[in-house]
Amino acid sequence: MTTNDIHATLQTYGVEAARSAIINEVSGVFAAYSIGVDPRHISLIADYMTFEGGYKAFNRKCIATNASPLAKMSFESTCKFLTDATIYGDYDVLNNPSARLVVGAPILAGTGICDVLQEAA
Amino acid sequence: MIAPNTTDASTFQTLKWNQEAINPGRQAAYPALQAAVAPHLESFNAIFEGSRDSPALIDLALNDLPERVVYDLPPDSQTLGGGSQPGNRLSIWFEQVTLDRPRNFIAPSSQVTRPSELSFPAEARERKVTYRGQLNVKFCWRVNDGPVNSDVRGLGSLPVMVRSNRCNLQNMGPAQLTKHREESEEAGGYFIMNGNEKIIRFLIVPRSNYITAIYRPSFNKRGPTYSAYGVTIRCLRPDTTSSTITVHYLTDGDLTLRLYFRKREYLLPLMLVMRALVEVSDKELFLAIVQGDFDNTFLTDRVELLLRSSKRLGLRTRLQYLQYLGAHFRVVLNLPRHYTDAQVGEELIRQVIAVHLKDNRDKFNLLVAMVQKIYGIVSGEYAADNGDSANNHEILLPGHLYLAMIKERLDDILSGFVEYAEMSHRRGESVNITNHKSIARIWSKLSPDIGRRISNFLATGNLVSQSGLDLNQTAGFTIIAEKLNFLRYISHFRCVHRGAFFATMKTTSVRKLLPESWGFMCPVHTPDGTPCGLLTHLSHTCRITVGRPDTSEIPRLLVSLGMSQIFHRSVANPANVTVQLDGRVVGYCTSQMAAEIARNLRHFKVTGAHPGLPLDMEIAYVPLSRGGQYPGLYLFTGSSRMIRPVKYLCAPEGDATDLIGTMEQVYLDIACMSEDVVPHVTTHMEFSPTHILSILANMTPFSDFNQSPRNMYQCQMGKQTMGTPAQALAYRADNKLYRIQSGQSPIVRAKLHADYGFDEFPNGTNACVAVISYTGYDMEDAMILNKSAHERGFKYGTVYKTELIDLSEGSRNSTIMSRFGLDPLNLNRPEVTKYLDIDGLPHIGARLPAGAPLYAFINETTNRNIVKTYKGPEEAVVDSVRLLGADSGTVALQKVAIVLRIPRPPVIGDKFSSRHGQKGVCSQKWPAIDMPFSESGIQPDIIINPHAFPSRMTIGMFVESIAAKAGAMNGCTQDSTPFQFSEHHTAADHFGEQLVQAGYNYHGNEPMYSGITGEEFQADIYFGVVYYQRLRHMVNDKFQVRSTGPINPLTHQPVKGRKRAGGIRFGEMERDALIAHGVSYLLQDRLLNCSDYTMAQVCKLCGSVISPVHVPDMTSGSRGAFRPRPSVKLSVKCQTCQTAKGITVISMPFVFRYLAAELASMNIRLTLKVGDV
Repeated sequence: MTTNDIHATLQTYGVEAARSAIINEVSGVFAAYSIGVDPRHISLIADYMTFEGGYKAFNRKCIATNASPLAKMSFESTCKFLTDATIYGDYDVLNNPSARLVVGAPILAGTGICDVLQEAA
Repeated sequence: MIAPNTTDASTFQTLKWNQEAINPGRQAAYPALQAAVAPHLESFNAIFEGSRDSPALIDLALNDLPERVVYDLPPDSQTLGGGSQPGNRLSIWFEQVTLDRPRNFIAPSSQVTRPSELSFPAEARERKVTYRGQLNVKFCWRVNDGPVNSDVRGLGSLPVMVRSNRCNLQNMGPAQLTKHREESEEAGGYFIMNGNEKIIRFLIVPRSNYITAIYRPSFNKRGPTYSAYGVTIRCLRPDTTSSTITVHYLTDGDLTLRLYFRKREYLLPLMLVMRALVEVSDKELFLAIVQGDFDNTFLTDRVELLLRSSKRLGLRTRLQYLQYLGAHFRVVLNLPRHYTDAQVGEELIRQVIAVHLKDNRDKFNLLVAMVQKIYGIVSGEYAADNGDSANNHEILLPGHLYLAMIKERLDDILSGFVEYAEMSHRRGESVNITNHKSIARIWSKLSPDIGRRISNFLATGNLVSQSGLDLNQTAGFTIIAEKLNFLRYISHFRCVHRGAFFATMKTTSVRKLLPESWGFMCPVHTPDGTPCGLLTHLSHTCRITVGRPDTSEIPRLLVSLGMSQIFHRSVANPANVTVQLDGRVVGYCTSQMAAEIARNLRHFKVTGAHPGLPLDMEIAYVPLSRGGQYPGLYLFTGSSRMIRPVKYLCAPEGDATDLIGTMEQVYLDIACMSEDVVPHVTTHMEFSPTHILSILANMTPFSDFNQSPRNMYQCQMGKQTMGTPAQALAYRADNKLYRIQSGQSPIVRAKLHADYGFDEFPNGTNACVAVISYTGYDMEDAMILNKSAHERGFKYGTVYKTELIDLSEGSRNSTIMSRFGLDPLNLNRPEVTKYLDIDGLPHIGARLPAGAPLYAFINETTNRNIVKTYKGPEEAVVDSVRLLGADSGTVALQKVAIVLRIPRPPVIGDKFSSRHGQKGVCSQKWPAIDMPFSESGIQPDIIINPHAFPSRMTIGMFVESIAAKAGAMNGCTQDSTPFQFSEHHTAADHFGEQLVQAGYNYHGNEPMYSGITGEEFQADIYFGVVYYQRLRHMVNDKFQVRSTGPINPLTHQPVKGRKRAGGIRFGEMERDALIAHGVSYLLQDRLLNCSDYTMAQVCKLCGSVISPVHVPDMTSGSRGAFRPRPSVKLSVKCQTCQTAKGITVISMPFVFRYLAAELASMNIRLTLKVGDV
């Protein structure tokens, strides 16, 4: 039993079911054109869309739930997110790549995932 | 129609070309080429010279100008609207506008020219000036009703279209043209502005004199009760200027008329206008609109409403309506103040309402037809017309636009005259209009230089106009006719633009290829990308009508064929449809009768049975339908229509040529091929299926074998090819010219190739092409060039650049500040004299490396010798130096044009393409000893990868390959006209047999041997001859590298742009790739260290990056002087915290500091929490 109604799946069977429904639907679109896409790409998308417990879209509206104001600003509608961040006195802990690039810090992924801790001489 | 090529098409006709080059004839050798440019020339010619049937357009335009009157007393001393008129009245008008042939030594605009020697276009091109002739006008005036005086006045010099009837090259044949430094086949059709060849391009405008019904939801927004329905008609005056009126349907059943005057729109109740046109009773109006169809309550109800609403104004007679109109439009129209209100109303009707008709009764009938049509559309009985389809289009011709601008300027001068007098009145000065001298004085205050205004229009393409000329764009009317190669050049004259307004539209419906444009617009030849579908090209047989034939006999003929004229409305038949001739309702008949009339008319016009019927008359019979186009019989004879020749099959003495238009084509039965003919139905047949293609699309060999987008790409790439731009290269001074030295005539060519004389301007080379995966350097559309072929001159190209040097540039007055020359000091410097002569100009043939002296001049005031250098970067050869004199010919030399020749042999990275949209980049010049070779020892010039074919499906290239191979063996050309082969007679068989006869494999492949091992390949290689083009995109113009270099002063980031030694953007997607790859430090290196890395002071206490500031250290050194101490930390202090305690240094992008500063300016504080390191 399947449905392409992600919302109904979410309501009835929970977020994991919604996630797999998204995977099925997205890969179904590619399959219609016989385009091979690595499942990791699609599961990444599905993870992003569902990791908050509900499901959300992939656009500037839904990036608003992101904790990092700098990441939001560097995505789209810079001015709106800047205004919001200013009004609410928002802060950024500089964890995600977009925010770290803004201040020129190496991103905390890949080769930047570890750091050297050494007593100052 | 293009005359069939009578000479043997299968030879290269080398001797014939040779003969013609040595002994140019008196007649153009390629009439087809001249015909391609004809609409440009004919429309320009029509301005100043009329034909037997119609006077010159300029004379018609002069007649149409409103009367201008000057008074010698201020307005308040006279009674408005007639009555007694104290003071004098001066009427002014123009007669006889004449344009002289271009001459040298053109006198100032205020004087009449004095005779001098003729000037020719080549001179204008080389001197980088405008090719223009003196425009004169006979200025006439009379005081009160006294005698008419006149004066001939100069209106400046007007640019003249090359080879028009005002050009000095008119009627010249190849022999004379070459004598005047032109191409032997110069077709003209353009203007020369500052040495550039400028074309006014064709613009699509709504079909004139046809009532178009439109359904446009945005009409709803015009006001309350406005519906989406309207009918509009673009009325063409006899002088080809136009005025559009629109009737809007309101949801309460009423109708309003929308008109434009001087870019402002006015909405009037339609009834007001109709009643002002003729004296008409309610009953007559009712009968006229309802046309006997009394049972149609939809119609009768609305007409009743219409009549009722017209009572609101409380006016009764026509005079009252006219006075009402006049009173409201008096200020707008700016007419002589002695006009009565009724006269103003009359003038409004003359100037704006249905201007293609003279008679008010005709105008009334037209409005009735508009009302009938709009009710027909609103009721759903008929469909609205499609404004995007070719049957509702015509072409705005260059000459007509040119005339419209001249006409408006002429009126501006007259109204300027009136304006000046009115200004004087307001200032309280007396205006004397009775003597010649004072009239000349007022004239001297005006700016009558029409030539300068129009020159500006041609040079910029911007239309500066009070009225807007009934067009909905103000820029982009002209283009430069680039002589990149001949294909591109000729395409400029055939391109049609949909209009700048449509380019901004988000919807794609205007760009669609509609079946109505069949045979008129080329379906292939349109660019891809932004202008796709908006910039189209005329098919090669499409012509555009110019001129208005005499149609006065046609209504009589129509009556004799069964049409009934309008005599009394009460006897109208509901089944009748209108018969319209050029937007005039000439009568009514039933639809069946209209079909019969259309058939007869067509027969008469094609067979010439009635001399009064022009062959290009369009007979659009629109049959009755349910929900289709509004029916009627529409006849068009006017200019600007697209027409094309097709075979008429019903002529008694065999086949005849009919010229059909876009509107009638939809309702004609035209067979494409002879097997499509249906007996007793088909009336017409195409001469050839290739007639739907543009000149350029016809040049693609075997285009019917290719996937269609590939043919579009070829149309683009054909225009970017380095070819032979011109033969008179020595007399050209274009900014940049590309030329290929090893041009050849293609072995495989369409029949039309010879008709258009493309052999005069070769565009590529026949290359031996092997389709093989060899060496790996042919991956991803790369191609391998044979190094020995390259060394023999294969695809060797040259770029000519003209450097224009004007010493007087920038100086305000005419005194000479500098002169070319070398002073004794520089004459003793061999590094200067190696390149420059004593005259300060380079030696012809000198090789200039980057930084070498290019020219030198001596400044008269400082007496310094300034040597300017060649900027490079490539080595160039001085091809020629032209000394350019001023117009008067008496000024010292100030202007020089140096033509530099830059050799461009093909290098790795240069772009090439076959004629099938198969482009590739040269990846290697492979040594001949390592190239594969065939049984006969032939090595390919070019190797391309077989992977280029499966997805692109350019079978035409395969066919070309074997066709040219067979042609090369037999020494003959091969016809590549599309649509020649069929399932039963395939191209593969046709050329395969020729190959077998020449001793080759039937399929075009042959055994080949590796140039490296000498072994035979396992597979046979497809090896043949393909005509290759070298495209102008060359790596030498494109490569861009930078390590460090200029930065943006605001952000400290590297600047962009090749010219400024900028960098290449490392963008969002590149960033994403590196994040995904996990290379954090590489990413930091790209985005920070190699960009805007900065060490910034931050105050740890307040977290601000902008508050730490340098403060002068007052404790040491000399007092007052700012001298920062070596240690930065100590001299920096936080402005907010007033201490240096918290200052620390961290690295960050400079833009981040900039961002903090920008935010601070908006009162937003940005703080950083900095921990201890």
